[in-house]
Amino acid sequence: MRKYLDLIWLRGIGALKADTKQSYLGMLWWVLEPLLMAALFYLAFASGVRGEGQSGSNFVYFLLTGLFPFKWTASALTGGSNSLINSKGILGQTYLPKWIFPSVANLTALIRFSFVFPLMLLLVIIGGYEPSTGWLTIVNVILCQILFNLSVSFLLAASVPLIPDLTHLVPLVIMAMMFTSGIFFDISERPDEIQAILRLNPFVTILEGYRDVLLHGRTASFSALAYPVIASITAFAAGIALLVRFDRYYPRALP
Amino acid sequence: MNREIMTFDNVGLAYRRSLNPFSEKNWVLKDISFQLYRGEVLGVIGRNGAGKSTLLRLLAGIIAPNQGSISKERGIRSQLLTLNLGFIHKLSGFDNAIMSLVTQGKTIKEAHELVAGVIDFSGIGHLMDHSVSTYSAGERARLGFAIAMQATPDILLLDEMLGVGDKEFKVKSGKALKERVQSDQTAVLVSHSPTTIRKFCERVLWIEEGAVKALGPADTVLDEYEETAPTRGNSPSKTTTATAA
Repeated sequence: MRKYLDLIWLRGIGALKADTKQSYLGMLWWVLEPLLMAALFYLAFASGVRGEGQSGSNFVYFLLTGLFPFKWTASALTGGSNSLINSKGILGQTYLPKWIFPSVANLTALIRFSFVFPLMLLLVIIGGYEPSTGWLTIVNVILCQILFNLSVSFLLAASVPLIPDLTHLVPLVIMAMMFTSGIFFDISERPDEIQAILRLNPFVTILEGYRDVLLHGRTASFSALAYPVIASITAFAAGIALLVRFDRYYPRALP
Repeated sequence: MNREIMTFDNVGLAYRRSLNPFSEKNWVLKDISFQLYRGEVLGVIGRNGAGKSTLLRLLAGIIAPNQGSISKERGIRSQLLTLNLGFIHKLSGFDNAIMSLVTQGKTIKEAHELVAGVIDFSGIGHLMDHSVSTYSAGERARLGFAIAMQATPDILLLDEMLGVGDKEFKVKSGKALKERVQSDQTAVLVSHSPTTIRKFCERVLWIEEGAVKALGPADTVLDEYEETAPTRGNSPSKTTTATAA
């Protein structure tokens, strides 16, 4: 077990190191990319579609606290879903438990978010939102999101090699998540029946957790996060079951 | 003879011809039974496509058979000798060495203790800080081989008896491999060269079209193999950087 954790750590750090060597700005891109993306979406949405009602300045912080956590999940899920396929070289030459590979993808995504998160806090504070002790409960939201990312990536990593068609579907699902998780609009302002459908997506609750704590001065209790936690544990169980069941079949299935 | 360390019992392995779950199965191996004994070097011989590489992957525990069973003593580790265990080319030789050692089952701490041996054996100490993407194929093979020699599996699996790299390193690596195989290391050596197998193995398993054609003392099996295979030695080598020692 110890050596598997060592391997996850080394491969995770190794992937990040290699990533920073791919460009001139290196690590700076970890924060630059979400910032540019936020700026782009701000220009697109705040100026036109939703200028009315809410003042534009509040919308920036609403957008940031949704988009940055979403980017984290998107990169964990994308990396996780391809993790076994991208490791077919190693998997064809030695035996390793398959859960190692989606875990590596999650570690790298988590480390990158650990640079983005302080930036997000800083921007929200500059925007005039007062930090309070209630902000400490953001830890609950983050833990919940770590569990969510890990679980869904396990399930995706386990399924994609068995049903290769999913490689086409995963990016679409992630894009669908971006447009339906309430990153650009406030779900609680929608009609009740629409809300009921959108809230089936456990990620909605996680994003609302960030806003509740950082923008609305509420606290995030574990009970409020029960739905995403239960959904994640279900996905985790299914993912692990598949990874164990097909442990020695994946090297044969990889293209 | 020593105790058996691993046993194959009526092992069969099949691939589907396409993704369709109802498509016909292709049996690569069928009904393979044999024992591997502690301390011996078992040779596996057969023509291209006989199922040798699949057999090695089963021995390494990378894949599981569709039928039959493979049993081994508890805690026994078998490992394929391989020159490239997931190198990340943008990283330095040193980082890759540590990572590959951990992939082979060492802890980070053990890897840091072993890496000096890797650098020493590879003879490319001056390149360890450079990224592997700048290495020549030969330098990469040197690093890969030096890392692989640090592995200490209970059963060493070899696809051909290979020395790698330039002339000087080929001699050095071939010699190290020979010493390892001739020690009390349990090993399985796959080759299509009867000469190589005769040199290292006491017992030989001959597979043909996925089934055991013969299993017994090296001389008996190899004589029979050579009688039916007058064109031996013409099959192309699998790795371009390597030749049979």
